[in-house]
Amino acid sequence: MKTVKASIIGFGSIGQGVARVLLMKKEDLKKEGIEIKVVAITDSKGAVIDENGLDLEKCLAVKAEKGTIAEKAMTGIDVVNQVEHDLVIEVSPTDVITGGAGLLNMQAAFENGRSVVTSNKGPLTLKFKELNETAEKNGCAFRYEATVGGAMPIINLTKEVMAGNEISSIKGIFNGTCNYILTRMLEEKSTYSEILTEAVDLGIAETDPTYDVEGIDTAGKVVILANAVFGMNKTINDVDRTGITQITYEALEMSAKNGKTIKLIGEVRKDGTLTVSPRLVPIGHPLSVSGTLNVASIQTDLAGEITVTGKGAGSIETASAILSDIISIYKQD
Amino acid sequence: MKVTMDIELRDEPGQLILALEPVSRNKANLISVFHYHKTNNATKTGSGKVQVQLVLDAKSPVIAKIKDDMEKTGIRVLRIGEEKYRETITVIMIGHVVNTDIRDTISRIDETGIAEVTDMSLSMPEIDEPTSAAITINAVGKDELKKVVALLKEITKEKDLLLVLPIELE
Repeated sequence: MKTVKASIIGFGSIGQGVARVLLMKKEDLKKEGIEIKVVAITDSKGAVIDENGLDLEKCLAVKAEKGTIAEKAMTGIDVVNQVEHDLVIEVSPTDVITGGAGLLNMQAAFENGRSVVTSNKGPLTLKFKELNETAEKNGCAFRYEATVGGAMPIINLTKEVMAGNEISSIKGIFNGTCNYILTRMLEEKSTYSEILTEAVDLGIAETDPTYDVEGIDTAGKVVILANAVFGMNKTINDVDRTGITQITYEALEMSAKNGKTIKLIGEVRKDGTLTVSPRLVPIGHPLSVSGTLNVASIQTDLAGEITVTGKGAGSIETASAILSDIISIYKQD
Repeated sequence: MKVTMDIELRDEPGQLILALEPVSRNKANLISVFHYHKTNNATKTGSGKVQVQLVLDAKSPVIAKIKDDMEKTGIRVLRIGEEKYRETITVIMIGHVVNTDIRDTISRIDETGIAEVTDMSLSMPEIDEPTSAAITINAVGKDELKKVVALLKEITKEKDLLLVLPIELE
């Protein structure tokens, strides 16, 4: 049995999802020869630490009751630098402009010889190559399946399961909020702003939805795919990006009359072209999924076209991708 | 093989059915029918006649037989040629499509000589609201279609319109 001491940096929706999944899958992990001992958790107010392993059920209850697990005035980077452990589960809020605290946490983790599993896109859209090089130099694992498409497996699928195939392009729907808005506009014969209000009320869109509807979130995922799958060295500034804010109900209706629907599609091609734009997708096409679903279509030379779909958001769904990354690092051969 | 057949009909009800009867009888595959008087290239051939272009898929002897049969019923076959347009796309444009001179947008595509706008529908919900347009473009071939799409990107950028292209377009 391999005991892995881990920290959870960020205890919002995803961080709590990770804690729940670790509790749910404790016995399954043991069957894989892995015991995960969470020794530190941080949120925006501070940290809770127990080098013998925290009681995750208690941590979740405290967070629900008090709104924070903070017992000590320590930040994420303090924990990464000062608490002895093997694995940093970096799930702090993302920042695609500066990389935010997540970038510093990841760099510090590698410099301390700790592996990283993350759902945090920001640092990867800005410093993908540097982070991978630092991880490699320090002998650390670096896994980030949860950064693209939540539960939808795509990075590990293309890098491992489909190894040997030459991939010419990946395109898909990588933002559930945009997909929800476009789907509902046609269903309800409503304007963009009416459905956006509905999406905010339901918690599907943020109060400030810019990041989703302007295609910034999708662009970040396209960059990660370009770098992780195609070995490029792209940043978010390399993406030709258009969001969905100008889409009208009338345009969706006209498209439907032509047997098509409008979807926000992110695409990376092996020639280095990275785009995010609304596109006409034939109804019945593998990419014409509805609601908050994510989908990706991978064009390969040997296997042809492979399409994967799954829930792109949600704490448990995202945590499932984090769990699979953890298992892939520590599974006993 | 695919061929175009330009024919001249009297501008009266029932004439098109009369023209299509030899196509059906000779078991040719009718791909499309263009009424020229419905497009910008309106060319009524004079004295109550109208020109129609059929696109057929059939072997040469069958085409020759259809031509003979049509001429026996008094239909004038003006010309037979290889099909001009092989590629079709429908795109969506959103914004001030009309106010930014839609005639100019269409003319610039038609003037390329490699493609033409064959259909368009507009939806203008309110005077200040953006217009949505679905435009169908026929092009000579795949390469020409790419050139026209590049031109369309240029035009829509210049006119600050959102262009929504089909996903299958590489």
